[in-house]
Amino acid sequence: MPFAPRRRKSRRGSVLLEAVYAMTFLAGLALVLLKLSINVTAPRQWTLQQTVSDAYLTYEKAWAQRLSFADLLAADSPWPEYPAKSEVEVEMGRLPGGTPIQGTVVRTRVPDPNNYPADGGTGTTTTNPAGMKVFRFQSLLTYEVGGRSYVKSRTVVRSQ
Amino acid sequence: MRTNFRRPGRLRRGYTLVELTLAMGIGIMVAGMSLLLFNQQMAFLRIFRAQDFLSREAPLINNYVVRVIGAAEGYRLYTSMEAMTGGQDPVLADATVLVLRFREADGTVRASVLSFEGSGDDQGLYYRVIPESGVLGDPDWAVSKQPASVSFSVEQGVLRMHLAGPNGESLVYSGTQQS
Repeated sequence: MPFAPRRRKSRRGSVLLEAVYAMTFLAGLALVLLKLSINVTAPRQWTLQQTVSDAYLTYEKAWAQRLSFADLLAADSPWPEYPAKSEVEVEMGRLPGGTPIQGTVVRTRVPDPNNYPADGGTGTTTTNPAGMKVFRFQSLLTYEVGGRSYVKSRTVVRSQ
Repeated sequence: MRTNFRRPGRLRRGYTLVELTLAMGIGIMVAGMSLLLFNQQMAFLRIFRAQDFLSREAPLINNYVVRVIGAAEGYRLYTSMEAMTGGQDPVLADATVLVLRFREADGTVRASVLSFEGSGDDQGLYYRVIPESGVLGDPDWAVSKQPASVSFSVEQGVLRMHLAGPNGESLVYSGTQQS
């Protein structure tokens, strides 16, 4: 069979195809990296809110531990007896960039069931011979992130 | 004898202006997309670093400070190290120095200082134990060098530590000493 030289394949237009491949690849890579970035930063946003709200609640806990029993049970107590409650708007902190995070604190106190009736319980000298007064002071912090509402609470038990 | 210098099959025609324009345009688009991708990653890194103080450093500072304060028997606040060593009166707000007093198991009293001091790269929250001689030396260690400012105050009898981060973030930790 006589040798027949192959016709040279035309490669015109291949640069355009390669460029389209490159752009498609880059666009895909950009989307994947964007998704990965969001996957990393979104939980961190949640962590930031946790850090700031946890920080604020340290105050609620410390204040409930610090106030005298008389002040805690007074008529103008920051923790009125349940079902009464006090509600205060607070600035919990600021995010990077200085954006303030607002929240609402609801405070109430719940007497222990074993308290004497005068102290909101049903205890008797048999069940509570020492006449202990025990209360749970609860602070609930509500705040919103991304349209969702979150509630976090701290409870301090005080007795006398 | 005529010689034909044009060898068949080796013809290499030049590019037209349209082809060149198209190639350059596509090249610019590819380069633009690569740049966009790079910028996207840089923006992500900036956001990631900006979140670093609140997500990592602040809880560490709080964990340390709350434990130290919780173990203390009492404390005093001073506006600066100079105010403390100079014998000025303690304050209840805008303090950068917190002097803590601890009672040891044998009944003796030991004191330590938590202070926000220094400038530039050395600015930070430092801890030092006050020696028996009473002469203050260099800090024993730095709790953190990331905060832009730290101040202490007392509100409603509660010790509060206001932390401001390098990116405008701020939060307040509170604690009480042992009762």
